[in-house]
Amino acid sequence: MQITAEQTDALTELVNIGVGHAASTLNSLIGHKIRLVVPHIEVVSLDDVINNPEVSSSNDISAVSMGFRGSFNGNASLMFPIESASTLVCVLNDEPPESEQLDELRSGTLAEVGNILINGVMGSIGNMLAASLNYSVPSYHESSLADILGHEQNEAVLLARTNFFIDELRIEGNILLFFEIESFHALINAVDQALAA
Amino acid sequence: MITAEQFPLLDHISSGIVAIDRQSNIVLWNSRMEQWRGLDRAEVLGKNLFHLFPETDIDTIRKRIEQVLDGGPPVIFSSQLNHHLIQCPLPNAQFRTQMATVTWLEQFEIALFSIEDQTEQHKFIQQYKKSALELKLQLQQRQALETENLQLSAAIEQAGEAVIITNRNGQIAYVNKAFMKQTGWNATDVKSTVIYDALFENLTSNFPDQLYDMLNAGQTWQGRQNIIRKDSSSFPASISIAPIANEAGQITHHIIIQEDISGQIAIEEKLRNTQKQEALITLVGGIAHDFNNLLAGMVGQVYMASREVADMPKTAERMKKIQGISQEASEIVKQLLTFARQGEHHAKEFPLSSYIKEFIKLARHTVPENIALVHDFDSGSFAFRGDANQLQQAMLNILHNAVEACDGQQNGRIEIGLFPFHAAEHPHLLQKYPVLRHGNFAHIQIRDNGKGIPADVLEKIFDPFFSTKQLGSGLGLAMAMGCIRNHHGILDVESRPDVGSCFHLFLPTLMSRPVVESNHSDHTKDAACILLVDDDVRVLEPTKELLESMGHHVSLAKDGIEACEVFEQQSSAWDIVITDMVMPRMNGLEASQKMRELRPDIPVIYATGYDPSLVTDNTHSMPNSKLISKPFNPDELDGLITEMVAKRKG
Repeated sequence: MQITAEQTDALTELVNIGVGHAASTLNSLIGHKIRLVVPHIEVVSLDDVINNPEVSSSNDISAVSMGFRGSFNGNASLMFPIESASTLVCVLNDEPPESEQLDELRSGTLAEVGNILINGVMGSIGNMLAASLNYSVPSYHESSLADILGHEQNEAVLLARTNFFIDELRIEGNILLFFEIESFHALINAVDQALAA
Repeated sequence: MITAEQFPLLDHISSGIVAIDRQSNIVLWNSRMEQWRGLDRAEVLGKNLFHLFPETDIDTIRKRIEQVLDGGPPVIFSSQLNHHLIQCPLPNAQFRTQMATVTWLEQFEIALFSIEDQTEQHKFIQQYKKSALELKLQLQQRQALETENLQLSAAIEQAGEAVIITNRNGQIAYVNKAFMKQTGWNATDVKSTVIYDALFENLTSNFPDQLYDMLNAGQTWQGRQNIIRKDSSSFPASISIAPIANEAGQITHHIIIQEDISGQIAIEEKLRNTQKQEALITLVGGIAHDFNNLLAGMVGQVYMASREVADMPKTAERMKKIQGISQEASEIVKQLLTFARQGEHHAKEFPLSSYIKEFIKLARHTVPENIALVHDFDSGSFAFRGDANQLQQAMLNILHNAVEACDGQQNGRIEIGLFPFHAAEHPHLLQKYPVLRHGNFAHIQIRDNGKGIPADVLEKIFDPFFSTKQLGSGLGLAMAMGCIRNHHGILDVESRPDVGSCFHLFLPTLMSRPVVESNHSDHTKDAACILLVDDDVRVLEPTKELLESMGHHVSLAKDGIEACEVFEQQSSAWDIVITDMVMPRMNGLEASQKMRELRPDIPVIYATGYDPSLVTDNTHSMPNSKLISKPFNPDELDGLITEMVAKRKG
């Protein structure tokens, strides 16, 4: 599976716009500046993702995931180290940092935040690519990355990964977009068409 | 157009279900929503969601719902960030807590709202938060209390005073470090011991009962009590015993605070001794002064009488004996005055090293042959300023004591030593005599291996008139003490029965410089015009006769004012003034100063036995002045007059 430099650039910009849109939504929610790293686009196996120390760690992570099907298929996820997730929940619920949290409280809050961010990304990408997509209801997990990504880990995917930081709150996180390889051509076509337009 | 009837199942699920079409008009409203919101389907269907429920018509909510209506991804409204989407009132006037998911169903072209009631969960979370906060506060309070307890117990454990906690029967439950240090007992030694039985010395049998009565009445007992150490010795302690009551006000324990006051008692004892000494000094000084004046009168009269009976050899002989006896009496008075620090003080500079060598020669005549006399001198001259005669007398008195202590002993031995005093080597002496910290001191030591002095006698040996000898005057060591104090020194003694005694004299030395001996030259005798001043006629008259018998011309005055008046009448006529120091109206010093305003060169002899510090300080600073003590030695007085008058005349 090959992807040209031009296509990579186009996809990078596309994701960057989507993530930028999401970041401004998050900024309005928490009132702190969000620093984005330029998205990284690559074709990898899920195994590679799991073994990538920049994404995964030995500890559990908090993740909100939402599947999409239609013009192309895949999954969009927002992932935090547990500590960052807790800090973010404290800020959003106006509670002192380090306070004890119930899972219920954390899952509800993070599910909505993840939903807002992922919708920002996907809404933006969907609009730009004029794609027709159906979405699953977002779900929240706290587990290892391997458990979150599911069983078919040898499967090759196109991964668009954006690392972001909220420096003042010492929060970091990742927005990951996985595109299934079967729908890869549809995506590339959509990108090409968008470029042509 | 879909209708509720198409989805009967929706009326049998626990979630609230609402659906709207692209125009935001409500097309589904299940029975759960009817129940929660209190609105029938008929009242709701076909109505615009945002109009009917204005709580949904706010930017952040409406925009997200409209994104779904545009075919966008599902949106979630969590209970944490929104509390509720559609207001559903509860009996308590609050709204149900809701988590809502809005999903676009392309097939039906509707947005489906699935609303989950999280009121109970929310309540649980709030309760949990409240409990967590309470727990946290309790934990903080407990930690603060524990810290306070730790501080308190550390304070008690490390307090300077001994602290003992007993149960209400006096059985020891706790003792701190200071207690263990004070008594030598450790905690296990005394655990459960009844303190009043085991540690309090010589208790009266009813003490515990009286104590418990006081403590049970909530009062504190305070007093002094001797405490028994582990080694069976005891020490005096200041003790305070207080009851400890529990929350119900019942007395459960006693706390005893015990301070070792042996040091304080020693200071009190020392102070009492000092006060006793001061009283003795005043008494002895007063008696000696009066006695001195009487002696002065007597010596003068005897001198005159002896001249008048020159042709009666037997009477003259008796007169001479009376003179001798008077001289002995005068020596005793001198010793008394030295003790009372009121004697004549002829200070001059001399090296103690050669002085002590001369003293050894003198001592050889005093110490019997059966007692070995050895000496040990350190190098150095030890320049000293003081009265050599007085010091010699003091040392002789100590030596006599040593000789008597060795009397009848086999291998009797007396050592005399002179060393520099190194303060750092004698911390116990510095503690006893802080003055030794300042300046340089020579250390003269007179040690014997005699019978020693028992402890109860040792503390009295420097008191005047205290003597263990049948014929002792009790003045020897008192005079020695007065003399050493007079020289700003320290006299200390240590003694052990059957081992011997050692007297330590610490004398302040001068900075090293050459000591110059003064030379006296002889002067030829000449008749002098003398103004004699004294308020005591018993002194005045005989002294006048004495001076006249020496060939001098004498005028009299009874105090300072009269003296000045007589002097003024013919100020140039006087060769010398002899005046008492202490007199009513105007003292000798003031009078002589007035006279010197008229005749600055007039020689003055001050005759006194009183207040040497005042006399010596001022007379030393005055030229052409001398100090003599009463009673006068007639020849010495005559010599002095001749010398001073000759000196003035040049």
